[in-house]
Amino acid sequence: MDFSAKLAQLRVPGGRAAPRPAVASERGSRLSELLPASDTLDGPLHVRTARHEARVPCVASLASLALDDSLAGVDPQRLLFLDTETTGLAGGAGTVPFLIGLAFFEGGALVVEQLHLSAPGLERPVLQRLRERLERASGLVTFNGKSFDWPLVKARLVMNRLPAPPPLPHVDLLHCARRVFRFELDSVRLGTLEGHALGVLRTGDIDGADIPQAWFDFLRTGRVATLARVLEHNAQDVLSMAALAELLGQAWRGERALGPKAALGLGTVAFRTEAFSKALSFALAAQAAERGAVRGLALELEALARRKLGDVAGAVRALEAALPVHGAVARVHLALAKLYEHKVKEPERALRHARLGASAEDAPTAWRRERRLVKVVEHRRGEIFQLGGW
Amino acid sequence: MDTQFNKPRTTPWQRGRGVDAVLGGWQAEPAVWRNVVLDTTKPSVTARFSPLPDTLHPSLVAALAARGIRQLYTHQAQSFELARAGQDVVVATPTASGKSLCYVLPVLQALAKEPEARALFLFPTKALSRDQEEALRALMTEAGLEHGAVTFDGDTPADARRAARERSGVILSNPDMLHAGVLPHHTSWARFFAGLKYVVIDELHAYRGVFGSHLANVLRRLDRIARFHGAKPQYLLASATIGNPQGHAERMLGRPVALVDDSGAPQGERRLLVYNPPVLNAELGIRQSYIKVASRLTGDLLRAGVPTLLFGQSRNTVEVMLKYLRDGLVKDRLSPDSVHAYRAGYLPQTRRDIEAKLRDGRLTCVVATSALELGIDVGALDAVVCAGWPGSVAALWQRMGRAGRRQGTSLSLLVTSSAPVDQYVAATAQSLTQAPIEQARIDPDNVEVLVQHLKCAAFELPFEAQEGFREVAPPQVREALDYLASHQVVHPTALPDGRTTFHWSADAYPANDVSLRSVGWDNFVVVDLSTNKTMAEMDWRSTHTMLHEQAIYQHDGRQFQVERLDFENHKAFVRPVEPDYFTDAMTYTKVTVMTRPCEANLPSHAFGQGDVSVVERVVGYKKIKFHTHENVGYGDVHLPEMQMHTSAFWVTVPEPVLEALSIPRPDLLDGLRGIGHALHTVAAVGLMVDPKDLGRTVGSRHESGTGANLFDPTIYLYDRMPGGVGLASRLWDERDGLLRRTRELLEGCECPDGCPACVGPGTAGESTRGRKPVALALLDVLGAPALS
Repeated sequence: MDFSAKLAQLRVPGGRAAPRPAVASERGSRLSELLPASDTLDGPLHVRTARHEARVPCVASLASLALDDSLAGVDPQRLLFLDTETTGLAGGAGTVPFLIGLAFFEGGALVVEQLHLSAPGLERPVLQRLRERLERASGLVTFNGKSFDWPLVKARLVMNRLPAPPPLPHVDLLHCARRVFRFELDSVRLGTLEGHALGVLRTGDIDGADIPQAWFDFLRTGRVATLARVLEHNAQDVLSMAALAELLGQAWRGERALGPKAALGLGTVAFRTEAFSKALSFALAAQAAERGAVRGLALELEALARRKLGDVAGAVRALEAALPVHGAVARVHLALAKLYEHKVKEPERALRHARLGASAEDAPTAWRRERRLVKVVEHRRGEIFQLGGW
Repeated sequence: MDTQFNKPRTTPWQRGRGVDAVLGGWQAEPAVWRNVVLDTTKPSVTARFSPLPDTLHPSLVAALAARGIRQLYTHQAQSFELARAGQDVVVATPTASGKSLCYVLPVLQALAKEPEARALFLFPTKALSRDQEEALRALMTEAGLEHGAVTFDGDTPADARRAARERSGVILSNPDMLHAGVLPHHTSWARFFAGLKYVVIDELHAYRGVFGSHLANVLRRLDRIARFHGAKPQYLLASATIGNPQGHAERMLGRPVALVDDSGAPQGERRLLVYNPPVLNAELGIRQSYIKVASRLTGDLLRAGVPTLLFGQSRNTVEVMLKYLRDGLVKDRLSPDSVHAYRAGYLPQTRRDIEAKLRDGRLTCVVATSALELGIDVGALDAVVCAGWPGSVAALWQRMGRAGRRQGTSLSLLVTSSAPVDQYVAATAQSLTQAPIEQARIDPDNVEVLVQHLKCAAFELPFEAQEGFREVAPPQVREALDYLASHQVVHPTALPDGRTTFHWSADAYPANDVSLRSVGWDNFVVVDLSTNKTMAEMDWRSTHTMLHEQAIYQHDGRQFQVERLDFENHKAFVRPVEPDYFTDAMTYTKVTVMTRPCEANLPSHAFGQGDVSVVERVVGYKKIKFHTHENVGYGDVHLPEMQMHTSAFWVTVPEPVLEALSIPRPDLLDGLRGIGHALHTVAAVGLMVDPKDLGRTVGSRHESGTGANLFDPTIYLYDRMPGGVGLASRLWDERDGLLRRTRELLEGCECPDGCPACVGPGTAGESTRGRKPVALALLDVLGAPALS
């Protein structure tokens, strides 16, 4: 049996039998209806550009939320937003971004520039344009780009034998948003945030899972109707990213209140970045309307911030207030024990809290703490006794 | 040799110690010695050395000196020079001859000279790569090489992976990881591939059949990706003794490979015995249990303090022999702790402990499955006992290679079972030492395998229209790509410059759908309901014939009846019984020939080979009475059928030839089945395959008509791997000798009418003639006349 006959007998390898794909030229022309093509040295480049109103986000705020100092000094006017639509989510050398959505500020407006592949293997014009944008940019803003879009872009540059991209400071808004909204959202996706915080309502949006198929259908049939929906989806993603960056910046600066739970998230970031006054004000804001666990955490954060700011009495007060509402009471007792022992110098109280907080630390440490406090207490009692006896 | 003057002194009140004492004891006992069907001695070999190569990097010279190595064995030096000259090399020297150094030295030489050089080591198991990682790291540290050697497999933590990719000089991994974890992500490995100087493949002989065919394709992909990153790695391969190390290596790499097979390592004298347990029931061909015999003989070695390795065929036999050995020791008031089992699945630390104890003598005997074949370091032992034929001459020598001290005599003992292949080996034991060592076969161009890897390759890097796939010619690659394009998994793009390229165009990760090892069919376990314990395991296929409900399952001489077969959960529940019959499953096998590229018509018969479709289904069983072989009943079996496309070799006997014999037709067909049985045995032995890998049936030459209305009856032997791995075409190549060797098997068997060892159990009771005489009469007609 010859090779062809054997091939014909094979089981279908994970696809469907179908008519031959449409001719390339036809595809190109239809794609131009959506995104006009311009000639470049590397071939035709399909680009759609639109200008939107948007405010330049505050990079210092983003730097804090991203816990990344390298971002602090970048020129906010030259930030580049990036979001890709790909042939799959698996990653690897065979996953291709067929649409790259970019956004940057120009002449007071946010320019959304979408670069579309005309066919697999014709990536160079798209990647060259992307490289030009990256060369001009001061920093990169993405949503989940650290683990998905950016490695993919780097892989495509390798695959197309183009030089590696310039190293750029990179804000992944997913990580920032997770820190802010961790007390209220289980999964932090861009779509969720749009409804939750950005006030964006998408209608007729294509399901992300259908996006690869839209591209494959276009390749086979040349029809661009579904691609038009992908284009809208991508443009909205990029705009939402810009809006999210702005929103998070405003929230960080206290110019906009996002509610007590978000305030607690913001306060936690502030504490981590050693912005203790900011942490204190977010902690207070978080206590405003909340009961229960969040309120307990907010009080604990208040105490931590106050202690750092030197307000020991305030810290103790906050912790005492946290005791009845906190989910992990032992931790609060332990914090109280430390404050009473080292700052307030009341070993009896410290000892009482240490005993109640023992489960919040490892056993040997807890045991040493207790023994130390017992000694101090006994020593003091001895002194008092001696004084009295005299 | 012992002479009058150096004969070891023995004292009567002391039990003899050492191999020679045990051999003497066996020889003195007729009940033992008369079962020895082969006793031969391989003379000792002295070491041959070469000086360390002048070009060897000073840091390596120093590292070797630190281990007391000031010269190399000749084959090590030869490998080094060939590698230095830029050749791909395969080293095929015996076990424990220092093969690792053959590939380690050239690699470390490259690392010592170029800081950016990289090497990839592939091992068939994770355990082996971990073992080698340790040894390699130690040597690299001594040589002052700071490149690092890291095992990269499914167990490597995420943070270590990044470091491995970016910095490690040597990556140790397995083909599966390369296939699914590295190649599809090659852009992250750009630096590694760009520097890739050497690819080492150890245990090359393990990659045969479908697994080997897959690996050859993974290497095609590897070469392609390395080329993309500007590298052309050299291959250093190491194989145990097989018949065709060079041919196998060249098929694996698709290009010429230099062979190093002349070992310079020393070897002591080796005594080889084959022991065939005596017949207990001549009619049924039942012999004394080889497991008991092997345990008893090993026990003799143990009591004489001989460090011994005992190989069993399965986990189950290993456990049984371990128990027998320990029971024997306890009876003799010796510590049972001097025997240990060793098999795959043990934790690394346990294995390390066993290896150490064996080396320092705290352990005298290890009972193992084939896990030990794969290069685990236990040092050299004084004796190896193989319970049952390991499936091939090559596998036998690999196991026996574990015995071999550098000085003094070592013993290799094979105890044959009553299985047909074992009995064939026992019957022809005298020619065992001259027996050609089996060849490892792969078929990288098997369309099914090839197309799967073309998909993976297209995912990794688009194909050019005129691109070949290593030795697969561009037109064929193009044809396959067109086929894949028609199924919408690749997309052809016409580039502005007139070229066409093929791109992966599906939302899937193709490597995930391709498993390199086709062992997806899990074993079934056999649970004894009377004890509620698992007593055995059985492969998926044999389950159909041996563990269907109502079957009499025979285990270690005892009978059990299968009460329930839980097909979904892969469990068979059996209960001990004492029936006066055993069961024989009736399998309906239909072979439909699809193509006949090779056919040879002789006056009396025709040979053929080609692609076939095989449908197998167990439809029922016969109850066959012990001793009389009377058919005392039937039963139905309802199990799903098994279908596959594969390749087959066949022998057709035209109707007129049969009619010319004055034997009733049912007897003739039964005789033909007998020939099929014997032919199967001969073929399995000759092909280095497990008999289960080769299917057989007697059917029609033509598509229509099975059962009674046979038309031109045909014996089919087919490859039981979907797609085939080339067994059929090898049988075709050797067709002329097959019938002659079948005749030899029949005539060499002592039974009068046929037994499991030759023509298999016949349908006695329906016929007045024995199966064997009919088979012999048929062979006369088929031009395989009686031997002188």
